[in-house]
Order: sequence, then C-alpha cells, then structure tokens
Amino acid sequence: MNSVAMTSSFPKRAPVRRSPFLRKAFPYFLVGPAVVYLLGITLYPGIYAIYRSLMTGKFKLDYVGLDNYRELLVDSVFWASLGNTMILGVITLLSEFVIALTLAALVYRDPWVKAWRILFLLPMLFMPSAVSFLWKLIFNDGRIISDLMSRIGFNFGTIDFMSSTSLARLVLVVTDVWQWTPFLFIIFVAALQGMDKEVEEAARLDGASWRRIFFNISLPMMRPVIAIGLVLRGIDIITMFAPVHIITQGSPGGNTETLSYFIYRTAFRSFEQGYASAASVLLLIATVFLAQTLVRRFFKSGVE
Amino acid sequence: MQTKTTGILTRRSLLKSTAAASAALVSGIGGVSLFNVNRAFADMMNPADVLKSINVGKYVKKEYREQYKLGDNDELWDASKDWIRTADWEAIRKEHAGKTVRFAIGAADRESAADGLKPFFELSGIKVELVPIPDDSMYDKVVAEFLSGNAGFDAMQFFSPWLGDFAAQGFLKPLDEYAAKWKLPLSDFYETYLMNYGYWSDKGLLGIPFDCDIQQVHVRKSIIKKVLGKDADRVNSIPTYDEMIRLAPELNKAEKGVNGIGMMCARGFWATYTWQHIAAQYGLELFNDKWEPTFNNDAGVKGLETIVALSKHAIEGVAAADWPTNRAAFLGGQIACNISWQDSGTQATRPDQSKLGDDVLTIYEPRVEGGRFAPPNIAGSTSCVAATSPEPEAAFLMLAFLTSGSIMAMNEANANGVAPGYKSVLANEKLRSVSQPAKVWADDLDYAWCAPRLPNGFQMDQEIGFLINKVVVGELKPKEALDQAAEKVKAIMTKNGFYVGKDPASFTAMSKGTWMGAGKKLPF
Repeated sequence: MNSVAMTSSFPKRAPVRRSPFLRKAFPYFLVGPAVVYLLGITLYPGIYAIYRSLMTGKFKLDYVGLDNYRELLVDSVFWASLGNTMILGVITLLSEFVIALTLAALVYRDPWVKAWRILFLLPMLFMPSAVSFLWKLIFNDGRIISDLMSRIGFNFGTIDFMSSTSLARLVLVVTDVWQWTPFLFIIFVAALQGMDKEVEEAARLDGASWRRIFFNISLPMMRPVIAIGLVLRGIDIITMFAPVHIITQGSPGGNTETLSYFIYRTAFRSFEQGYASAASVLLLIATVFLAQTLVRRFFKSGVE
Repeated sequence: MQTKTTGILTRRSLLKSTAAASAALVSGIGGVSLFNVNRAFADMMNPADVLKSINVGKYVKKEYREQYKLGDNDELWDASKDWIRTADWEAIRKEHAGKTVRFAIGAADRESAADGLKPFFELSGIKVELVPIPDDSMYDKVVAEFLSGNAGFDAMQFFSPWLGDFAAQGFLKPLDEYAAKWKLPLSDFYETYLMNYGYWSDKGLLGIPFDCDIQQVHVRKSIIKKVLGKDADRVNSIPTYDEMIRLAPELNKAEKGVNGIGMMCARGFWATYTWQHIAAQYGLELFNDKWEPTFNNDAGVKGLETIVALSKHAIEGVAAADWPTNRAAFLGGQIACNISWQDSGTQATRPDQSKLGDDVLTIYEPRVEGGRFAPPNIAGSTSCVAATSPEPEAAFLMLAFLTSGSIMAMNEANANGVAPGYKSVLANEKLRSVSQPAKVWADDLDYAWCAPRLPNGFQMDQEIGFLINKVVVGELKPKEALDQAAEKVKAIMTKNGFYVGKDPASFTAMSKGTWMGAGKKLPF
C-alpha cells in the first residue's frame, strides 16, 4: 500500500483545538518538573543559607540581622583563610595551566595523542579523597619523598612537611595539580586539534618558527577555551576541601586553611551554622564575581 | 410504617451486617494480636540459654582467642556484676516484650550494632531499630531531631563532650529511676566515668558510660632497653615529663625509621586533648567557681611548654597529627614513646592491626615536680535516652544491655577501641592478659582528671586547639596563646548567656568529677 492510498483510505483527523491558555502554558508544563527539581536542589539550599546567615544559636534561632557578616569582616581567621585560598588558588591554577598547556602543545599533533589523552585522564578518575590519602602517605605518613631524596643524595633526614607553611602548601598544590592538570590538558588538546590547520600551515610557509606560531596564532585563538577552563578550575580551587581536610586540616597554625575548610569546621566542629552560612554566602558572591570577571576579560573569540 | 424492601439488602440489614462484621473484625484482630504476643512470648528462648551464648567463643575474634589461648567460656568479667547476667529477664519480658525502640548510631557502627543487639531481642522481646546517622553530621541531626520535639529515636550514643549541650537543653531523660528499678551496677563504674559520662550537673543520671577512654603513655620496650640499658618498667622508665624530654633525642635516634615522641597536635580538639593530658599533671584547672577560664595559669603554660619541648623530637607531621594518623604511625612502628588513648596500647599487640606485637608497654603517667598524679580521662562516648522517647524504659534496658560488663570486656578483647569502664572488668586477670594496658589503666582511673562537660564545651576545645597548634609550629608563645584562648572561651560563654546570673552548670556538682585523686596515695 502506498502512502497515497493510505491517506485516501483514512479520514483526515481534525486538528485538536487547544485553548490559547493551554497553548501558551504547554512549554512551561514540559520544563516545569526540571525547573522544580533544579530549584529544589540549588535555589532552596541557597535561600536557606541566606536565611540561616541572618540567625544565630544552635537550639533556638535568634534573628541577628547582618551581625554574622559584620563579625566575619573583622574575623582575622576568616581573612586568613581567604588569603590562603587565594595563595593556594593562584599557585595551583598557574601550575596547572602551564603544565597542561605545555603538554597539550607537545602532543596535539602526535600520532599517539589518543593514548596520551587516556593516560593523562587517569588521575581525574580517582576520588579526590583517595588522591589526598595517597599524597599524604607519599609526603608524610610513608616518608616516601624524604626517602627518595636521601637516595638521590639530598640527605635532609625526614622532612616535616606539616610544620612548615610553605611545605604544607606545596603538598596541597602537588595533590591538586596531579589530579586536575589533566582536566585542562584534555580541554587544551581538544582546542588545539580543533584549530584550522591551514592557518598554521600558512604561517609555517611564511617562515614563522613554532614558537611564534604557538604564541601568536594558536594561543590567541584558544583564548575562549582557556577562559572557560580556568574559570571552571578556578571555581573548583576556590572551593578546595578534600586535600585540606585529609592532609593538613589547616595546619600548620591555620596557614593552609581554605575558605571551604573554614566553613566546614565552623559549621560541623564549632556548630556555628549561622556564622558558617554567612561565610558561604560571601564565598558564593566571591566565586560569582571572579567567574564573571574572568569570563568577561578573556571570553573573546580568538579570530576576533 | 412499612419498610420498603429493595431486593435482599435493606438499609437496616446493611447497617446491622456491617456493624456485626466490624465488631467481629475488631475482636478478631485484637484476639489474633494478643494470641500472637502470647505465642511470641511462649516461643522466646530461655534467658539462660541466650546468656550462655554471649561468650568469648562467639564474640571474640578467633585469632585473638588463639593468640591468648582463651577458652570459649572464659570469663573476662565478673558474672556477679555483669548486668545482663543479673537482670530479671522474665520481669523485663513481662513488662516490655513486643515493644520497639529506635537507636541512633553512627552509620559506620550499624552492622556491628545490629549483630550485637540480636541477643537483646532474644532476651527481652524488645525489638531494636537502628537509625544510622553519618558520624560527621551526628550532632546536627541529633539536635534537629530534638528541636522537632519528636525525635525519631529513643536512644543514642554520642561523643561525651557533647553531653553538656544536650543535658543543659533538657533533651535527655533522667535514668535514676530505671537504674534503681533494674539494678544497674552503678557502683561498679569507675567514678570518673560515672560522674562525667553519666551524671550531669545537678540533674541526676542522664547517661550510661559507653566507650570509656583514657589517655596514656605507651613505649616500645626494645627501644627503651636500648636507650636505658635495662628492661622497660611501668613506673621508672619514664618517671617524669622532664625525663621524657631528656630521653626524647636519644629515643629519636635509637633506631632508623623510629621517632622519639608521638602525640596528637593537629588543629582543634586533638591539640587541646594532648595539652590537657600533660597540663593536668601540673595541676590544670580549667575554670574557677564562677566558670571563668583559669587555664592560662602556670599549670597550663607548663603543659604547653612541655609539648613544645617534646615536639622537637616528635615524629614528622606532629602538627597535623590527629588520632588516625598518630595511631597508624605508632602501630606501624614509627614511634618509640606515644601519648595517646589506651586502645593504641591494646591494638599494638594484635598482629592484624600492628607490627609491634609484644614490643609495647603502657607505663604509668609520668609525674611532674610540684604537680599531681592525674591521668586524663578524655573524650569517650556515652549513651542516653531521649526525653521525648515514648518507650524510655525499654530504651534504657537496651543501653544497659549494650554497656554491660561482659559485652564491654569482649569489645576490649577484640581491641576494637570500645573500652570498658567497670572496675570488675579491668580488675579481671584474664582481661588483663588480653589487654596489655589494663593494669595501669585500672590504677590510673582512681586518680583520673576530666574536663567538665559544659554546654559548648566542644566548641571551646576547638578554639583552644587552634591556638595550641600555633604554639606547636612556633607562631605563638605558650602564655600568649593561652591568654587568647581564655578570651575566646569567655566570649563563647558570654555569647551563650552565661556570666549574667546564669551558670552553665552547677560548679559544686561538676567540680567533684574533675580530679579523682585528691588525698590519695600513689598506686605504685
């Protein structure tokens, strides 16, 4: 039976007439459940955190207005944790960026690039807490780094990574860089591979060295991708928690305490939920501000 | 008037028949349920048989039984003081069989608790439903449940420093009446546990001590022998903290890969507990009778100076060492002299948990010149009944079962970190043969020091510990840190409404439990 026969043998169904209201509302019904779900898991906790940040007390909540914020702004421990977050964030992000970009530039035209990608992806597949335990073992509990150093002739004895601020920070940076550089690497490799080969070819024919090609052509074209990668990693680093919780707990003397860890211990060790909520609201504002600034600053097409 | 019939069913016949059916159903269900309860009661095992099965053969790990040549029916407790063996189970069944109690417990302990509570059901007919709560959110969840006015559990077990928070708010059911009615052997508990994990302020008995901890000093026998040239001795090897400081550098280089001193100086309560441990020997009193902090006095400062001196020869990472880190290092053979909880001394002897084996000795608390013998009862956990519980008596009985002497003794034999607080258990020779620290631990407890369980006490411990950690890493001087800590503690107390005609607890009642050694002669 052909299609003509089909259409002729069945009477054409009259189109269903929906009321104008239903026609307008129909798309909202479709997205409604997803919106409700998203609001439930993002907006409600956010609003509750803001509400809680205006309260104090554990057993009986008292409204204190902006007192928690006022207290936070003069709390040296809060500012110290913000400073630590910035120091750790900048060092970690820069290290990850440089290593990832270097590796990406080295392998993106390599015939084995797929194998490299899989290999470099591996650290990201581990749980952050497991990675933190691993590095804690390597640096501190298992004395592996001290042992390796003495074997290659640097006999400093057993190094106490946890009593020196710079060494403790180094441990946190290494842990994060090892696990998350692959994230930027994957993005950068994809960006480099997606670029027009002809532009590169034309520059080479004009006698440009690989360095000029990379810095003057490839890198500017990658700007939007770099911006997105850095923003995503930046947000992650600002909220760095697992390595701090597992490896240093803020030691020595609070010099590795990040803002996330400050919030955690205020809420779950000192049970000051209102104060911790105020800190998390400020962290949210800082994160949004930073992300917006970075995106606005760098998110311009490379071709442009 | 003529009744109009429509078929077989009239309005009246419908009413009659449904009423009759309902009555039959109600009486039927009632009858069946009563029948079931009676049947269940009749089917319950003989208590003596159940009690016989709560034995070493069934409860203690096979490898530990073999290691210590324990027989299945060896008693690591005193049967005449073991509550489950003295309780009147027939009376308990008569009053409580068929009831259900809900027990809030750390999620990690759920399975072991479920297994451990099976005999309780067989003995009492009381069903226990476990409410697992992730350990990290235990405090918040418990508080939220209490505040709802209708807690979703009847009983719970928690970190004893929180006792003040819950007790002061009236969240806990007084247990004095039940303890008297069911003859809980309160006098068999060491006073330090009873007064700090059980009684609170002047509100009576609010908890049954659960995990009865104490901090001690554990040494490696082989290393002490190498350094001192003679066998390690519980009393004289390290008689004072000054001697420990003197020996520390020697212990540090006695063996490759082994450090002199181990202790917990991580930020927060870990560092506070280590400081309290040592400062208690110098006579530390945390508060005066007006609940003003006094710990920034000479005793507090000396305690902190001792920590600083010891930390110079301590294992690397001491400034970030919490209990798991310290325990792993000690059991892994990296520490010659360790300041920690008693369970490290027991676990060190278990081949599946440690490589030390016999090479460990728990010594008496080192003394200090002009100080006092005050081994510290620190942390631990207690078990309580919620004030809102609809079945408080049944919940009490469940806790009495779980904390009974024989159950706790077998926990100790299993070296699982849950410690008994009974005199009759720690004095038992067989128990002492499987628990290396037990002899010193038992003697220590008669002199124990303990911090009062104040509302917000844990928060204070945290704040003090942050500042102590700064001293350990050289950022603050001891006196400076303790002065700042005293200010912080005062601020916490003030914020919670104290010092303005309202005390956090009765000082007279609480101060009795802070040191048990007053007027007593040394035990050695």
